[in-house]
Amino acid sequence: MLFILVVLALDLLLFSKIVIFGLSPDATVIIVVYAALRFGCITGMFIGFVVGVGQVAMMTTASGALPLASTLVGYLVGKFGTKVAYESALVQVVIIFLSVLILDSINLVWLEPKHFVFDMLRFSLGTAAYTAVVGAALAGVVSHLTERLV
Amino acid sequence: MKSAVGGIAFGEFLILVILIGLSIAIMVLERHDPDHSPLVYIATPLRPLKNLAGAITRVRYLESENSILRGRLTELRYENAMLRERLQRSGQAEKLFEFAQDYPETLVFARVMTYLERRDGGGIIIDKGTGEGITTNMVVITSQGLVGIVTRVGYRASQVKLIDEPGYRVSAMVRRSRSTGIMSATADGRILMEWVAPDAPVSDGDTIVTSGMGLVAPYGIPIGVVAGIELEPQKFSQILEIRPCQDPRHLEQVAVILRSPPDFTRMLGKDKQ
Repeated sequence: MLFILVVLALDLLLFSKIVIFGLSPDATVIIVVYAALRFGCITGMFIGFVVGVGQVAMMTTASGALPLASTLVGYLVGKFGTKVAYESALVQVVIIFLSVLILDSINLVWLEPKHFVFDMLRFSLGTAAYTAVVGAALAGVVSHLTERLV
Repeated sequence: MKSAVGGIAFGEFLILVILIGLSIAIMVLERHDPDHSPLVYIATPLRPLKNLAGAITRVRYLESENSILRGRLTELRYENAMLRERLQRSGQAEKLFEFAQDYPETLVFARVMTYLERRDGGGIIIDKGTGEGITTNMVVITSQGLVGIVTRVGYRASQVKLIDEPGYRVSAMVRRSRSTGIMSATADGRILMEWVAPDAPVSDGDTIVTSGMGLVAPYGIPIGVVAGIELEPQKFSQILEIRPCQDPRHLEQVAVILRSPPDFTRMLGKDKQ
């Protein structure tokens, strides 16, 4: 519960304020990817599912496909992302970029299949790139802080 | 747990299938019967948090709307100020234009571009010059009265010496009594009329106009009103202090009288021949 609140608070209070060209980074993807890479695919799946359900339950605008999309992202990143050198910032950028695209693809197929291509080109690619950069930067900051604390 | 399905550990596979099944159930129920979706039961205890999230979203929306409206308000205020300014300026220009209709001389309208410091020669710069036929020593006026005289001319701009600057002299006359004298300015900006006959009937409030003598400034242009009278120490003449009919330091539109003063030297030379 606390985890969902933290994610939603991060999304609402911080990420939705750093809007560029109408696009803002997706906090939930960053959290799910982080959990999946750090703790493996089962945790990734659970976190994805819980965050997705939390979003649908608490946000009237959230799509019903979010739990499925987040669960699959958590699973795929946990399964395959851990097999690559995910400590590298570039790899993290690629993983988060692909994760946002997977999440958005499932969402758009469920919500607006007719405008799938347009929405992917207009919104998803930009959001994916932006989220990837912000996520990689956050990961760098977190790992730097962790090293200093340890 | 050691058995695998297509390379995936059974435990993982089972959890994946369960979570996907639940997710699909949520999707279907959300779409077909959102009021009875299981998420409603999850959302009920979370309603205060949902409301909080909604409030935060609304506050953000209101903040952004407020910021847009503030920007628009600033734009409108600026637009309003510009329109008022334009109205004011067109009012002044209109007055000057009306005045020019009745004025017997040809006038060139000019806008005051800047006021100069005394160390830069003083006076004002207007946006008309030789391109419009202006030459030095032409008289500059407004509908209210005398402003000064053109001292330097460029193609697109001219410098004008104002009536309250030392060095500017013009022959003047008390309109009521027709007594004449010379108007000049002191270093501290006071405008005086000297060489008025000691017995000339003058009183405070009398209007002073250009006399037309010397032919530099045409006859009858208002300069100001008498604000003080004193007798010269030797009692040869009166000195009148003049309050100008307009503040020459706050002008925007002026008119230049397109009439050059006569060249007396040449005229006298011709007479001799």
